[in-house]
Amino acid sequence: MQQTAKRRPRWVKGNLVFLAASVVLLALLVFAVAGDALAPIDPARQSLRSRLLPPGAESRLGIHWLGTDSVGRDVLSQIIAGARPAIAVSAAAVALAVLVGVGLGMIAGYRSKRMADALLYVTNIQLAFPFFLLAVTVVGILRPSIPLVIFVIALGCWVPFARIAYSETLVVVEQEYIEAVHVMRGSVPRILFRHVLPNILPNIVVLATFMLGSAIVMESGLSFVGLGVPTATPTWGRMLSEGRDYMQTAWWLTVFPGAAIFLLVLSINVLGEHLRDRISPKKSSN
Amino acid sequence: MKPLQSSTRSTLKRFALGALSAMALSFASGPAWSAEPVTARVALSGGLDRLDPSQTANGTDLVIVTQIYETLLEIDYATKELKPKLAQSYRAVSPTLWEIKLRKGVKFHDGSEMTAEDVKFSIERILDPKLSSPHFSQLSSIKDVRVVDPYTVEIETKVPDPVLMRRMQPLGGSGRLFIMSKKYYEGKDNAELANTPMGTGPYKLESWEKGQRLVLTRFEDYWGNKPEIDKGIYTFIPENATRVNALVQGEVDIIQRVPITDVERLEKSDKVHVIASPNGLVHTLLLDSSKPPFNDIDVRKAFAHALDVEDMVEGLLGKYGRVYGVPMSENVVQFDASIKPYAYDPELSKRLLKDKAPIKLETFTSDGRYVNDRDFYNVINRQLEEVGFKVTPQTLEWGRLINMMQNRSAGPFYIIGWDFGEGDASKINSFLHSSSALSITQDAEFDRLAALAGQEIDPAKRTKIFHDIQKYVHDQYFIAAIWQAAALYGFSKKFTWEANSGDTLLLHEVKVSK
Repeated sequence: MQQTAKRRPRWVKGNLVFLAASVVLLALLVFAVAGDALAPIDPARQSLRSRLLPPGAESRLGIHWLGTDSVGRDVLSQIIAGARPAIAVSAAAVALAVLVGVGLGMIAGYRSKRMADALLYVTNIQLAFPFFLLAVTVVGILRPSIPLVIFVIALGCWVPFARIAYSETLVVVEQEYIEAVHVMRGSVPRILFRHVLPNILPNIVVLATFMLGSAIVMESGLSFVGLGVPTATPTWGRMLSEGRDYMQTAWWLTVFPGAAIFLLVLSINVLGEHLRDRISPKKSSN
Repeated sequence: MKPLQSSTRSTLKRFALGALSAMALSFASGPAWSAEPVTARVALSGGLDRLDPSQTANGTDLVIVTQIYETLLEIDYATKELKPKLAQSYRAVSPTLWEIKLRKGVKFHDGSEMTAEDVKFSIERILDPKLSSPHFSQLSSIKDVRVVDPYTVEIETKVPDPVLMRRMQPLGGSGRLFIMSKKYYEGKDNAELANTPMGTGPYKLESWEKGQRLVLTRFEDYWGNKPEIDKGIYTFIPENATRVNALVQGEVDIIQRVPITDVERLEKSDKVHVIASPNGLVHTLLLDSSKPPFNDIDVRKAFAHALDVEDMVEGLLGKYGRVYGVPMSENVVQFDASIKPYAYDPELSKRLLKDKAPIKLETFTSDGRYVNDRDFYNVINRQLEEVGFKVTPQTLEWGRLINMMQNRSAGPFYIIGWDFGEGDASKINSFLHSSSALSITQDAEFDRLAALAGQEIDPAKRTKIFHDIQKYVHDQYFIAAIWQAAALYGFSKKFTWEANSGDTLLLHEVKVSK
């Protein structure tokens, strides 16, 4: 602890990118939590008299810092309101993927060769399917809802978790202290949760961070094709898709939500890299 | 040798120069289009499905079909009256018997002559239940078609059908009886025929690479006026922004469906211009009154008065939109201008819904099929929420959505646009009569009135019945909002067009700019 505390100031100084990423991430998290209170104008409020106003224009509702969309909704307020679905849905999906992936991976790594084969077989099948095709088929047939979108994104994320958990568990169970637990007749759950999990957790956390970035892109992609979570105000992906028709006449409809997605994913990835460097230094030197 | 050589050379030179100047002269003197074929590159907003007029009702298919095939009659754009086309004349022998004389010397693209046998075949093909033609119901009043001589046909109907002749013209989609060659079609596989259209029209199919492009070339033996355009190359660009850019950058010469927000940008350009056809689609916001919640007239009423349609149309369509109180276009003879659109009165809606349980509406919406449809749905849903409806919309791809509409399973309300090119009120049966696949109104009184109008021969009495029908539809709140959007085309300055035929762009009406 002391060592890290001493190292930190120097480290931060040398890493403005990390600082910037943290600020962006923090801001977007605040938007996600308290978006309703922070949005300057009701994001669902439409006004056809003030549609397609450029950034900075003023209407009777106030100043539209990032302009208005094709039915006169404030773009800045929509971006703030869109942080919640983007972050919450993706985080829930990654959590589900971790739960399922790590659970199956550990069991397969600990149990028998046959379980492991079955798991690898399933993950191979899953990897052979393009994620988007799978997602569009599933969500397209059923009606999009928040649980379904979370499920589908989790479906697109769980494989790497299962694979990492499996291979790390294989290494851990060979260790002598696990043998010792066996000798002392420790139960299987005890071995998995008390001894295996803490050992593989750092890598899982790093992976989860990176997967969160991918999950946000997936969520935006689904929203873009009209299969995202149904919300009263558009999500970022839907804003992009709705702004597509106005690319030539109203650039702000696509540039700002696009930038929001870009910044969020970039910040998460910067954070992920930082975590990776700190948690498992071995990996970064490779 | 040398002098000879030089003189030969100079003679050659002189000859070549003379030939060149002669060629140059002929170019300069003759009209531009005689020098090289005039090609128009057209970008359609949707793809093609099947190019068999008896098997399709898809808008983009019909744009192509209407140029390859022709109908017996057409509409005179100036007078809105019917006039002969492949027919020479037509008359009602009795209320249930029509006699049609055919034009002589009309050739199909394969060189054979069109005769009465082909007309009989074309009608019977649509009436064949095995084909399940989308136009079946429009011609179902026909009892028998008889060939009197090679240029005379008699059509006998089961009951008097005063609008039958209106269905013999190509616009508006209620009928569209295109004449097909019996010799060419008989005994062939229908799926194959949908790929190889062949008719009497001013253009014939040269090639069709599905999903890529389609080429039409002028039919040299065409009976009518020679079109100015020799060749039409059609491509398909569903994405609005891409289609507009293709026009601006000169990749295509003509585009369908210019988004309203791009009109100003296009008008500023010196290479392109926008042509608006006022008789665009009439958009109807249909309510499913056959099941809850809209089987309750109070709920329909609350729905209709919750919407500020005037503001919506003004804001989203500007000068290219018109709001109506009745579900038909102004150019329809029986249009009743005295019926006004429902007033915007959200307080009334709230009062009507006050004692009812919250109403959830799970809806399906289109995006890109109609002018600004996504924005319309966004505004409509928002205004419904404001009076207390709970709306959960889902956007669907048009092909799937229209399929659901035809099974009456596309949700409690949606927008469909109708082409009233035929100029007759009987078109409203397509979305209000209980027998139509696209109707979500199942109302015995409407059906009764429609049957009365359908059999009335006297035009004045018929108009009176249609006025009653329009009043009834208005009072019953079957349709929550009605607006018409102009059909907007983007044209290269090289070409010009008198936009009379609404949603159908016909290449033989396009002129080369002088």
